[in-house]
Amino acid sequence: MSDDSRRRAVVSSDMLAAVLFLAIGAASVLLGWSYGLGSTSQLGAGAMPVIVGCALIALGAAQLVPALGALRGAGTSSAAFQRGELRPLMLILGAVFAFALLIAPLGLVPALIVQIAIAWYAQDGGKRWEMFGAMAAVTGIIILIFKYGLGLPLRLLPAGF
Amino acid sequence: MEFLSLLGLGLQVALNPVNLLYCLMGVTLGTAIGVLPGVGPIITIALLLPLSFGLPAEASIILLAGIYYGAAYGGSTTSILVNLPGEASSAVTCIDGHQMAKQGRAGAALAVAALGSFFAGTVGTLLIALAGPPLAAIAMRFGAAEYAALVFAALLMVAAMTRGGVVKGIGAALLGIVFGLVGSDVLTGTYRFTFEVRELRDGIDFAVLAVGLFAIAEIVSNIASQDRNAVSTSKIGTLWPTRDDIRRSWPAVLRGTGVGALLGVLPGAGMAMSSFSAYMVEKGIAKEPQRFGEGAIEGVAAPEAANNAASQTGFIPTLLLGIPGSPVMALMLGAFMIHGVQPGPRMMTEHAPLFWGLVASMWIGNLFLVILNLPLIGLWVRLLKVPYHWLYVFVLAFACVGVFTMGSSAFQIYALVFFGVLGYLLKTAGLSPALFILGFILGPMFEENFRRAMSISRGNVMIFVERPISLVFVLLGLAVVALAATSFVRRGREEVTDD
Repeated sequence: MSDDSRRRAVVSSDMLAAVLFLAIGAASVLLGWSYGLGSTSQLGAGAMPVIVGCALIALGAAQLVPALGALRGAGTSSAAFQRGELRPLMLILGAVFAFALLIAPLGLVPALIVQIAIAWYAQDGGKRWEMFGAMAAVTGIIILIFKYGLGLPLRLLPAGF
Repeated sequence: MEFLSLLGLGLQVALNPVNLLYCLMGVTLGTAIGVLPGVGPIITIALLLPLSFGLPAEASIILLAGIYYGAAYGGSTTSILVNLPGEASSAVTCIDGHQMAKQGRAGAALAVAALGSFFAGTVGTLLIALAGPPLAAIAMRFGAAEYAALVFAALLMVAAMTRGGVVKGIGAALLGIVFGLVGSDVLTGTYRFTFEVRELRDGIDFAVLAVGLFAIAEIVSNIASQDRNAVSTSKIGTLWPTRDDIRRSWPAVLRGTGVGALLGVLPGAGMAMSSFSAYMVEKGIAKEPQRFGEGAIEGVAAPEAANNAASQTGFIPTLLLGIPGSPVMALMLGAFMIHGVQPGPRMMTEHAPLFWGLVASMWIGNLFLVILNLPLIGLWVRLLKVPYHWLYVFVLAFACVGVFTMGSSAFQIYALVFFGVLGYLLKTAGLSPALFILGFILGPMFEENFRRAMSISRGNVMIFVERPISLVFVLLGLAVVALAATSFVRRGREEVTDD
């Protein structure tokens, strides 16, 4: 990363932390309020969410001030999101998502094969033929562990096969 | 000698063939992941949590514990042979261990590390057994206020020791607490943060959260930061330490065990800090400190003993108070809760076979580790040649199938995607997922005790400072944060400049 982009990072990691604290803190306070605070001797279901939410908002504010200062150029800050992480993130999440979609209608083997086919490209280390080896090996080991080792009822293939 | 009869009961449980097999599996797997960089005990235990539903409580806890202390062992092998710490706790072993390997004395270093670890593990196990009954008796007298204050102090202590500063540390724990509140409120039955989703009524599933936060997010950052250096392994040489080695290392092992056992109990210190501290102690008291860094055997013996002792004594607060001091211990606590066992002072009496069985299995496991590690070192080193793209594909598949089998519904896997994203965001924001998990586990405990204490005192907050034990915990927590906050300003600046 160049020195320049580092100084002008729009979303620094400090900023992201501040945003997370403020957003989740505010949500916790707002929702918690509706659950009822109760009285001091009989704290309601909403008391803890409100207390924790307020603390988060306070921390978020404390975190935001220096982060904004850094944005204006008063200091340096490192960018939160790195380009190199975007591809693995999307592909890994996509692979898990595909598994979730396929496992119920199609069964374990197709779900795993599609998952591996997507996840494989998250890193450009492996060769194409290696991927088929990985599919066979991983699917085989998983079936051995879960279906035969632990005796869990897993459907391997779509109905009708 | 009630202690001995209880330990006998434990041995009976641990020597049951099924449990023995799980213990062996645990330490073998632990050694393997300790050797493999990029796969640590946290991921592995998270991955196995869904499976532990199907096992009896004893077997699954023994298995998971074996992975944990086995990894502390396995990490030393790669530190010494390839200068690549498999685990953070073995990083300091690289300094002198790898120097010894370069001088052709890897075998001696490995042997001293293994024997030192075994000794430390034995002492650690004994300490759990000895400290158990008296500590449980003290903790038994804790009321709601004391427990709330203890959780408060423990969270602040861990937060203060986290890299990235105390604000982010506390924030991460608070975020975890919010997620821990999801589900029905224990005292009133109100559904909180469930958004009309039926699956959330019982709260967020701990195993799904742990897998998403640790496995998924970890894979992404590992792929992005992989440097594929060719690994060159040193020759192992003879395993026998020289007489001089033994003369130098046994006092170092003793000191390392002491340092590790002490730091292991403290929340937030953990194995990495104990091995580092033990190394500093050795260097500090050595007659010729210049030998350190050039292959001093004490520099291997002390930290390896320390991290193993710490890995055992870390169980003390977890088992006896129900307060985990590290993320791995939080996962262990989660595993107990999956089986309906609430660790705490009553555990020793209510779940005596489980408690003593675990203690005894840890000693047996340590024995297994010596047997596994020394003759099979060549085999472990070969594991380093497994390319990461095979490893992560397998981890991912294992994670999805494991989580799916818990509920046989795709909901859990969508939740996995959600927590994967959350884990990535936390990591990117420099927030520790480990503290998030601790907050998640300790939050509900804090809430329950806090609310109970408040109703005992009829709404008077002073209850937390009027009761002496509670006051001590509160002050301790605040003192640690104050200490960390002052050095945080300095540390924060350093981090920005050298990041």
